[in-house]
Amino acid sequence: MEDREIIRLYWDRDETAIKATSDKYGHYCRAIARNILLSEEDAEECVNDTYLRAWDSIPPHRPERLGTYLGKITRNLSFNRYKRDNAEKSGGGEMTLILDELADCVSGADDVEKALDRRELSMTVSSFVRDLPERRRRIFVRRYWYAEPVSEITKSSGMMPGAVSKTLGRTRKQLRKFLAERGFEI
Amino acid sequence: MKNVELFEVLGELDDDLVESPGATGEVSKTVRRGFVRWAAVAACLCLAVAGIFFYKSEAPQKTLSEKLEGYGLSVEAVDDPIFASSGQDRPEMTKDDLLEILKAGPVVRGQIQNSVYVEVTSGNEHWYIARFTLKVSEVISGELGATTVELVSASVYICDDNEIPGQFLIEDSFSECRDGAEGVFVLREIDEDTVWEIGGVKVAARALGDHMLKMRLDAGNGQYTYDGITVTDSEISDSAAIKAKS
Repeated sequence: MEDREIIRLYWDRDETAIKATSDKYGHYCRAIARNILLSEEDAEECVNDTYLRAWDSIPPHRPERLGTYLGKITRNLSFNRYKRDNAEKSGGGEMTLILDELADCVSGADDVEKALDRRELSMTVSSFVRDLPERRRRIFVRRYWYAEPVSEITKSSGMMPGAVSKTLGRTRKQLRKFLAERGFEI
Repeated sequence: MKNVELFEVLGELDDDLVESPGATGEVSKTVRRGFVRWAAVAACLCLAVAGIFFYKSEAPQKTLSEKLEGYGLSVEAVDDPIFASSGQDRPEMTKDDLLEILKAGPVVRGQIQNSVYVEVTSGNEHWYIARFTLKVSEVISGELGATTVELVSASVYICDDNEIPGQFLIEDSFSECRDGAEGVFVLREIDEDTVWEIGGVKVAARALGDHMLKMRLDAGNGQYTYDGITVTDSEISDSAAIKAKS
């Protein structure tokens, strides 16, 4: 079913919108949730919550890209759950590795972030990612947006073990420099 | 800022960036490239993608250049290729990485003949493509239906600053794949839907061959060595048991 037809179902408050969403984007959302959460059960719950969030938000929203719209909801829900579940634990799994990697780009200070214009920072990061060469952009997005394991990126891109990590390391370093040059000492 | 906040900020990337091909659930069906590594290229940050393909003995008579030109690509012959050597930029390979590659097999022993090298340039992409005959003397593990196969290797360098690498550089695990070179080669079958995007043009890998070479390595006395890492038969016997015969 086309996205616009699914969105129409939401706007018509037709509950088959949920099934249509699940049929078309269930696998996609599940993959994102699984990447972030260690538990299959938790991932499934986040995907189901994604459908409910979509039901509650369409209308008034009419997303241009339904897949990405749902993916962002899933990512947020899954990461919130990850934070909650790991608040008192030492972490573990892929997300721990990803967050360790992202620590390369930030100061780790609590008070700096408050002074930042979050929206402007978000736009600047988008600008950085947009200007990356295509292959590096794909790798970066797959790692830090989709939270995919490096091994999976390596496997499906055909890249040599080690090359993906090296690419990501260079890109993180560039991101930090890019942000610093624009006044974001994060 | 803390890393957690940065992860959240990254979640706000523009939709079109997130939707790009290669995201979860899409890439494995569409684009799959060969053996890839970073290569050291002066004044140029490059992404190197390498794969080696081979034809069966009934390979089409068209030359490599003709085949690529058939896709509308501009092709130039490279008379004197320079192979990338080990350098500071080489990625770290672990023993587990090597085991994984060996397990994938098949593994053959053979000799390189009839080597040909070309360059395809499009924007900031510089593709270096090699084709040569691999005369197989022994199938060490796995199955191979021909004794003489045609291999094709492609490496792409994407330069951040539009500087041209200036020399033919090819993944050094295939190094010195010149006429007469002998060695042990780890191959991998290419999927039907594997596509190379050369200068924005989608080239069906299966139109070029049906396997890619993962690496060339030294073998002997039940051991396989690459980049100073050695594994034994017993270490890889839990899957595709490779029997070293020399």
